[in-house]
Amino acid sequence: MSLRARLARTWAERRSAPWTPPGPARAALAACAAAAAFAMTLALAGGWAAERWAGAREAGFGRAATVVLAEGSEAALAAAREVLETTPGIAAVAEATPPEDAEPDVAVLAVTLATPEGPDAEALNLRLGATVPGAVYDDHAEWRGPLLASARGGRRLGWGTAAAAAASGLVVAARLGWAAGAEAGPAAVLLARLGATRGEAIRRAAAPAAWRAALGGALGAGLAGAGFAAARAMGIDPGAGTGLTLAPEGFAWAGLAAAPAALAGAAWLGARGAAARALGRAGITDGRDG
Amino acid sequence: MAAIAFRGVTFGRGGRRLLDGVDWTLEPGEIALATGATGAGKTALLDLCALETSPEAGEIEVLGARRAEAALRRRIGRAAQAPDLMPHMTAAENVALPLRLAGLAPAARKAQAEELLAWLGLPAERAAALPATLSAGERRLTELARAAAGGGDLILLDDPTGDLDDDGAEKVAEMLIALAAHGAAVVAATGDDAFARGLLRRPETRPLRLEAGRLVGRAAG
Repeated sequence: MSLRARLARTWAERRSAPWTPPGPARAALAACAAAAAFAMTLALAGGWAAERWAGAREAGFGRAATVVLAEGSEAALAAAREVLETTPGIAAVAEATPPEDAEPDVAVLAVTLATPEGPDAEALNLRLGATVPGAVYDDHAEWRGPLLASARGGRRLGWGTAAAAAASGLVVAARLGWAAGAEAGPAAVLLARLGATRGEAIRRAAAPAAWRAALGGALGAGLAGAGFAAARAMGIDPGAGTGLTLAPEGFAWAGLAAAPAALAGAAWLGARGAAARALGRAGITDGRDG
Repeated sequence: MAAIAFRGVTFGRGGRRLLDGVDWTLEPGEIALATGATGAGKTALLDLCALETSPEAGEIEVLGARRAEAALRRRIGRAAQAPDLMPHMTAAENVALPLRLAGLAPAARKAQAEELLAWLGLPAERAAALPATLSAGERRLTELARAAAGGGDLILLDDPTGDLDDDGAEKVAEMLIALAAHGAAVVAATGDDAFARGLLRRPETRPLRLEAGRLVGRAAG
């Protein structure tokens, strides 16, 4: 058959009646999938936002340390810099503004650690003390720990919420898919009695449910995405551009497609299960379990 | 090769023994007309012939197969006692369903379905109607046409003239004779005496009466 003939045939088949009759469960599936995808997309965006927030906190505080010099002459600063720059585990050193209530001669160096653990504080203090008397290295361990813990907690909360929303949406899609498959079960049995293989009959019964879930899911995720974009365009996303915005950034936009795909998969599995059960009850097993 | 071969088949339903060690064969081109009292097991006999039910004892071979897999189901045209039609498809689309499953192009199957329905006495405008708007007799004719449309080697019909008037029943008899003439084996369970008498005058028809677990007046074997 030529390509043109194939296309003509496909077009003609598309105008044929669907293989299985529509029903209320299949209709409900589209609406529920839209709502579930909307919620899943928001929760997923929340997970990403929590991830970015936690990452920003870890980067900002997790690797910050200071060296305070009691006498901040040029020579003392240069000597302290040399010690720090030759210490493994230190990524960068920069002069920082001393606190307002500090003595006039005090100077502060801001140290960026190469790893969250940083260098051995005791050994570094010994080296600094020997080179620049009165210089003290402080890795802020007493407040850095709680900050990192809160960042980890925020990340867990964000992804946990996303996982719970995703699980709920998938369960709803699978259950409605099952109902749609059960609704199409008699049609699947009839198709099999008329000569369809068991697999074909199951596919014909399950595919509309999966498509409905995919379309509803795409609508829900699309609405959520449009909401993010509109909020940003209207300037009502205060975190825009800072990495703390709720709207997905970069490749995370592609994640919007995940919700409809996952919902369609869940609905398809549910509908397949119900159709297979209907065929099994009618004694149509094609050698599987009969 | 026989279209249907029962060898020592024993079968019961609802605590009643319907068949007890029955041997029976039906050849291609023959029509078996199953009669018997209500509950005698006529529908069960058709289920056994479709291999949708397994006997308690004995062996059944249908068109050379012992399992109702898709390849066998495609060769069997079946009409149930209560017509089972797709509610969202027109009468013609229902009739064309086996042809659609077989991969026939839409225009060809539509033409074939409409021709078959017209031959059975269902006009074109009724062929384009949904089952919910058809009369009981029209639904019956639609299902019979669908059973015949697949060009099956075995046709199983349960009460084919139920809901039909005399003209309709006569058309059904003509259809069965035509199918048998094309080499199909036909098993029809009926309680319609006039229909049965008409068909029994034909040489290809074999009477088959279910009585106390036996097939009386069997075709052969």
